[in-house]
Amino acid sequence: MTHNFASMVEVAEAVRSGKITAVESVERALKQIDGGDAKLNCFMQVDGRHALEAAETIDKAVSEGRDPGPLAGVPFAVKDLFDLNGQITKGGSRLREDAAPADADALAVERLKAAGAVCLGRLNMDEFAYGFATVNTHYGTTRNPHDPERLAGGSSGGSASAVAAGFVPLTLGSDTNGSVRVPASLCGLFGLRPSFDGLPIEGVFPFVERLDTIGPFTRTLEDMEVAYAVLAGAPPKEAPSTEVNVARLDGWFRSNCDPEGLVGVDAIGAALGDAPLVELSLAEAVRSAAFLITAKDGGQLHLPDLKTHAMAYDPLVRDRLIAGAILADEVVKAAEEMIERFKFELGQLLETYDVLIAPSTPTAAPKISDGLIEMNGKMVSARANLGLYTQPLSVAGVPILSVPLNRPGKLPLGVQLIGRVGEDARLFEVARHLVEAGLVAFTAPETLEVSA
Amino acid sequence: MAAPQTPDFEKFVQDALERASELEVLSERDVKSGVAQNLELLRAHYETVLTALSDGARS
Repeated sequence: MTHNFASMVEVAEAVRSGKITAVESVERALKQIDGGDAKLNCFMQVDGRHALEAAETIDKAVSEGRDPGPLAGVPFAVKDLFDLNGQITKGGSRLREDAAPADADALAVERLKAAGAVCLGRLNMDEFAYGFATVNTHYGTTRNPHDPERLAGGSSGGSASAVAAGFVPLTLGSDTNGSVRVPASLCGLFGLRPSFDGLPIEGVFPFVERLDTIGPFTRTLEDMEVAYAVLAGAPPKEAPSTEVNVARLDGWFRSNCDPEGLVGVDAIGAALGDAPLVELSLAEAVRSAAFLITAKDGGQLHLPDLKTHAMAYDPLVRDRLIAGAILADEVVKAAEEMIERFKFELGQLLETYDVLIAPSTPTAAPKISDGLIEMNGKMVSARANLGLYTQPLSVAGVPILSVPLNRPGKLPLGVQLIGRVGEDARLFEVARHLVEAGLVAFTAPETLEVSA
Repeated sequence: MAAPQTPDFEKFVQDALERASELEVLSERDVKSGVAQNLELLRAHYETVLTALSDGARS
């Protein structure tokens, strides 16, 4: 089986110009999924029939001289918490196998389809997005295409693995505490947590509504920018064309980190003008606050089902949700106060610096067999702790782009570019500089045979 | 700003489990044990938050 790593933009141009048909594009993706997904377990459901029907509509538009849209014939897929019209949104859970089918597409899906993209199906995740590993007791573990013995990260692991494997050039995931950025790092992709409310979340099954965002995965920066414009309904606001002040996050964001990750962060810092080290003193405490808020809000959301159908949950998730649901109110109050203090501290730093940089994950993809990472000299659960550097930043509503370090022959590692709320475009601008400098790039997995 | 009152961390897990009397699933020994383990983790996070708030109040 050969894998195709044509970018989303290349596919759309080929379809728009008539070089290939949308049906051919979709058939090729379906063939790759059919041949390769048994090994990786990215997809929970593939809907080839509807995808081919949609592709025929695109081809008809092209043949009749109508504009088929900027993403004509681009195959994409979504994490199993995006509504797809007529299908059940399971959230990676057996609990929802008999839920009513969605009566409309999620708004993000609707916008991609309106731009000519074709949805192929639903992708695996940690149940109800509660985890950083995509280890799902009921639907299996999603594997990393760079080494199938290793985790893809989570909770949007199916979304990341499917793009890294070359099945599709674009997927959608969600990021509450790092569920886009962690798998983007482990699978070597561009992954965006947009400014809070920056991309449409309507029709997406919630986890922690005060933190939830959606986010795309792509192999190229250009694809990310195009996908963002389509999803947002408009191109991002242009960043002011002034010199960009960048700083590297110190302290919490450099402790427990793989030295190679720090080498990457420092190389990026040097390329962006000798970025100084600065500290966010409340990072550890606000990570704990995010843990508590997530547990409480997630637990409260599921409390009615936990009372009646607790044994239908994935045991890995059930016990975490119950523990959160029964936290006392004063715990939440303390966590909320900590978040407010952290927002103030981060806000002050972002008055001086336009962009902050930090590792996306403390390590490259851990082995599935042990599922552990080292933290403060102890081995701890990767599922709960891979978001060490993403979780503290999630509470602030700021946009964060995880970019893949260019390190062919090695397991992927990502770096977070963190900006001010509403300045997502500046992250793209900085990332473009890093791509041009050769510091950031997707590398096709060596385990896969790549087609010309 | 006044430092938050230090809660009784020894009773954190026990108190939480008592609040969950309507959750019948906690009568399953494995579930209760798993929930207690997660509560221990959350207790540690709560302690981290309170310590930082207290440090901030003192400074």
